[in-house]
Amino acid sequence: MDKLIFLIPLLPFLGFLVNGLLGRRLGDRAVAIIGCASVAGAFAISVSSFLQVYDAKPDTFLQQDFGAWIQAGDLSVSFGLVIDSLSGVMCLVVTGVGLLIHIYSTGYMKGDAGYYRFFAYLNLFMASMLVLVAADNIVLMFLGWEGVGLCSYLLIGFWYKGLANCSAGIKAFVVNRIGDLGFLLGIFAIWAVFDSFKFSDIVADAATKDSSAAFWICLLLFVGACGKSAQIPLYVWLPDAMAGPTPVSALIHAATMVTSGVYLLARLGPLFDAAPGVLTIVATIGALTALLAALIAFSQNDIKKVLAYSTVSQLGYMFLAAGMGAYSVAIFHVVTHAFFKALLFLGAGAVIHSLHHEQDMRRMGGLRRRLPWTFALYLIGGLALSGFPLTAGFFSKDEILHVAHSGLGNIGPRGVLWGIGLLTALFTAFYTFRQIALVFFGSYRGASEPQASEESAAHGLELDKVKESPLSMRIPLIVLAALSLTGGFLAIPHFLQPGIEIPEDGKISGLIIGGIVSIAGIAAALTIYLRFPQALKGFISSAPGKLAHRLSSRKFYVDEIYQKLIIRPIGIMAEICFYVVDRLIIDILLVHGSGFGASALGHLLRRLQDGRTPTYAAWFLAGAIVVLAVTLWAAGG
Amino acid sequence: MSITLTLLIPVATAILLLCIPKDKTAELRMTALFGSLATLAFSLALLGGFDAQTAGFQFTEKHEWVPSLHIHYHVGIDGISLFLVVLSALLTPIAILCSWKSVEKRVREFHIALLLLTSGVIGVFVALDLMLFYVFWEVMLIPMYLLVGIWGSTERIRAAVKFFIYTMAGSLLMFLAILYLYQHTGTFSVEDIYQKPLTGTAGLLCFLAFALSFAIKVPLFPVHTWLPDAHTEAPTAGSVILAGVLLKLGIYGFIRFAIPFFPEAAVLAAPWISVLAIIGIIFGALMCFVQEDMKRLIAYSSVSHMGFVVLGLFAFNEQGVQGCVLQMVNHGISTGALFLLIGAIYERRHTRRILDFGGLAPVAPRLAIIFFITTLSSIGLPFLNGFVGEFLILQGAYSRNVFYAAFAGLGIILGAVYMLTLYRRIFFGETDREENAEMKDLEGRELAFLLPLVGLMVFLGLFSPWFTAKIQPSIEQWLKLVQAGGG
Repeated sequence: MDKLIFLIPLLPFLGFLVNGLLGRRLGDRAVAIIGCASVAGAFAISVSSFLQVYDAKPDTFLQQDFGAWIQAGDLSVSFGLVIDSLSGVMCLVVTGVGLLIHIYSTGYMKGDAGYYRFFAYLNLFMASMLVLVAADNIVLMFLGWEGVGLCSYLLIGFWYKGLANCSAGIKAFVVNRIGDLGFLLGIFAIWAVFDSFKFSDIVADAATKDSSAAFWICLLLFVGACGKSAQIPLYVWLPDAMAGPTPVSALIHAATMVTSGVYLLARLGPLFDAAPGVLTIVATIGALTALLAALIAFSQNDIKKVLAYSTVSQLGYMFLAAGMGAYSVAIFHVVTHAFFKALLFLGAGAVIHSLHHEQDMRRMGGLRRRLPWTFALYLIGGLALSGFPLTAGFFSKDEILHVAHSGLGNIGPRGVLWGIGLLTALFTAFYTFRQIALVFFGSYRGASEPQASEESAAHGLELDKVKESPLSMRIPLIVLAALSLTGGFLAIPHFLQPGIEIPEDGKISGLIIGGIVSIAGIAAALTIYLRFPQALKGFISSAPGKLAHRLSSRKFYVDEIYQKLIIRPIGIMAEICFYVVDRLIIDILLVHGSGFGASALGHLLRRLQDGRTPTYAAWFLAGAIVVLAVTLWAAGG
Repeated sequence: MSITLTLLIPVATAILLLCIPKDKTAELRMTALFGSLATLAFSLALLGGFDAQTAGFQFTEKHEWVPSLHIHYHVGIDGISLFLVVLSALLTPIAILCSWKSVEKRVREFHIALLLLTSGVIGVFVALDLMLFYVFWEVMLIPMYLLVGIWGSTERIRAAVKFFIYTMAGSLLMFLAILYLYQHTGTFSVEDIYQKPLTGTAGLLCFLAFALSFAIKVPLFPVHTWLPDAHTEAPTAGSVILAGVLLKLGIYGFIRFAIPFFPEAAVLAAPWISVLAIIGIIFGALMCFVQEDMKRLIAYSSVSHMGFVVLGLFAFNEQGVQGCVLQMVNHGISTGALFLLIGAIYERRHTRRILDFGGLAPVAPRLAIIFFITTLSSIGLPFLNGFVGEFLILQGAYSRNVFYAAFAGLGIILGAVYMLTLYRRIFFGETDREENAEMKDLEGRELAFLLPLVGLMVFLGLFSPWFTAKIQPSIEQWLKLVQAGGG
């Protein structure tokens, strides 16, 4: 199996090439088969590789090296892959969830004109993501990192006729690039300090290096992580990314790509341990992002936007864990989150599919009778996201809160961050069941004429025309639901971070508190939205309620602030540079008017310039020859 | 495997063209194409015979030319010039093919100019005698000037004049410096002058004279304003050669002449030039935000990209300089391809105004895909060529000064903004204009010269060690020269 790990990224890449180059001629069926089969192959190899590293001692790994990619002097970057327990787990999640989403997409995208293009991009994404995960050095990881960013851009703007989709794609790419600059500078710093890009070298030497070096490297890398994993201040692209087809939102913008930042921190854990200052920043940013995104999720009306903000929020939890030095706990949440958030997104996709591309929750309601399967499965995902006792999200989230509460190793407890995390857990349960109440309970509101929503695609779809989605879309949901229910029983932390010692004290009470908070949030949401909607309306029309609602629904005006403080000034600067510096100062003042000599020359030339170019050319040639002759003669003398 | 033959074939082809009646355009085009392909074949033979272990010049030829002045016909290639020669030879047949339908005026003269230009630029890259270099340097300007002035668009004369003023201003100062250098060292031989680097005030002044001339060619901020005009007005073939080869002459001049002749001054000036390069990176990128003409936009993006190249060079370390040489080739390929693509669009729609486009992706899928890959190459996406060069340059710059890399890195962000926005404005959205909806996709002839470039983008992106291994020994030796002289 050692010799086959290169196939994990290569198979999807071949799928991309075949589907991308020949897909148009192959027909949809063949495209779907190639797309799914390549990922299934990668999944199979991931499973067997994983079993091999899992069975053996904790520090075993598989690796392969295919020679140099970049080479200059003593700097060298190789095409090297490594599967150890960490990358093994990630490969499993990426290929496993990826496979389910590919299968789902065969039904969801049926009939779309860009069917082959969709699968080609999706396969390219899988290949890039697997390179990111399995790379044995940070530059190759960056290749995957940029590759997934590219696919994200392509898939957000998949329906390219809508310019808004394309703009959302560009926004995602550019905001990620801002983070990438940090990442790149971190890479340069790594080479300056470690003389190597290999993770194994960096991790081995991390403790021996000076702590300010570790601080700057980790801070820069964290900027990159903030971009890819949508943390404050770079989270703004992720909600807009929902413009892409829903399977994309599930795969890229929930389950896999956006967790890359967390993976980066886990991969370089010992280096971050050497930079406790950065860990504090990581944990704080994580907790604040979790809270901010949850507050925004309260008032969103788009079914996918709620999930998007909840993803941002859950990623915040992962960074909170990583910031405590509990990387394996963070990865645990990455895994469970991949299960239940993919389930939720695909479930939302099923709703959208059944409603003919309606995404506005104000035009849904009462769907549980017409879509019993979707409802049941969505409910499981919602429970897991809310951290309902014994679901996957319950265990992983409480592990994070527990670590924050009791501290880990050298890092003391962080009471404030724990409090924020707990509050966010309450909010999470609340907004999740607000969504479930709006979509599946109450009465159907989609048949009435379009009211407040301008972007709604469907115009008055009757309830009895709402139908369940095909089996190809339902089976992946069932698998994911099963994983969302049972995934919490995986003992990931100890397996991934053998040295980790999570204190036992207070673990049980933590679980109990977490369970109570979750149930309280769920109960509050269902009660308010199903029993007392008038009370809610009353609250929103009161002065403080109005302010709170406006802040939440306008996303705290962050986009507007960025627009005013960053984007607009850059535009103005560009105009000033062009008209004042380039045109006026350099061109007119310096080039055309720099003193008498130049203007005289210009005058002369203008006289020569009689419009007949050959004359002009002859003058030019003659001049050059004369100059040459005179100077040669002068040199000789 | 002879440099002289590689130089002479284009000239010989040009003479042959004179013998063909000027109304036989098909014959003229074919002859020129075959001549340029033969040049390419010879340059590839040089590449094949190149010994990657040798740091010094290879395939050298030396004959007396003007004995009384110690001027020699002395040519040779090392790792630094090798790929630039091949790139020049590669872009000529492409330039001929892309003009197959668009150039109908004075077909014979057009091809003669192109072929002479090829000889001129190859001559600059291989010359090892300072006077020989200067002759090539001046001679190649004439066909370039004619290409812009005769076959350009409406504002061609103005652009040609600007090109002329700028270039002449630089050349004259450089010529004075060359003469001074001869007086001081008694030789025009480049290798001999390496052994007697000029120091002190005289060295600084001579360096500045050379540097101004080369900075104009690069072009380095603030002497870049000729470039957008020349590019916008030049015919596609002219733009391709201009971006692909002519801009590299400036960088090459720095590497071959200005820096090793006056290492002390170069090291002294390095921080200043680096800062100018960084200003150019950001300034050039910002310029792209406000351009309405797609060709002008790409021209300004060249200013930005060439800033990276200069920055890498003046880092004076292995990563930076290798990145610089690699990125020269990369820029030639990807910006060359962008001009070809815009040329193809212009041929069909007779406009380059970005606002006139939109929704071309479904109409011309082949064009859309190649344009997209080229865009990615231009913005330095890993897997394609641009990344490797930028990565090495920035790593080199980082080792010199952390802030160089940080500020230059802003150019990468801005680059993504303007290129992706340009792409969106041309290819995405509804196809709402009839002229766009009826536009033809790329044809076989166009694919024939675009696909090899795309192939090179991928090849250079994945197998860059194949290139850097050949470049490395020469650069190591060069760095020793600079370090020995720079103190």
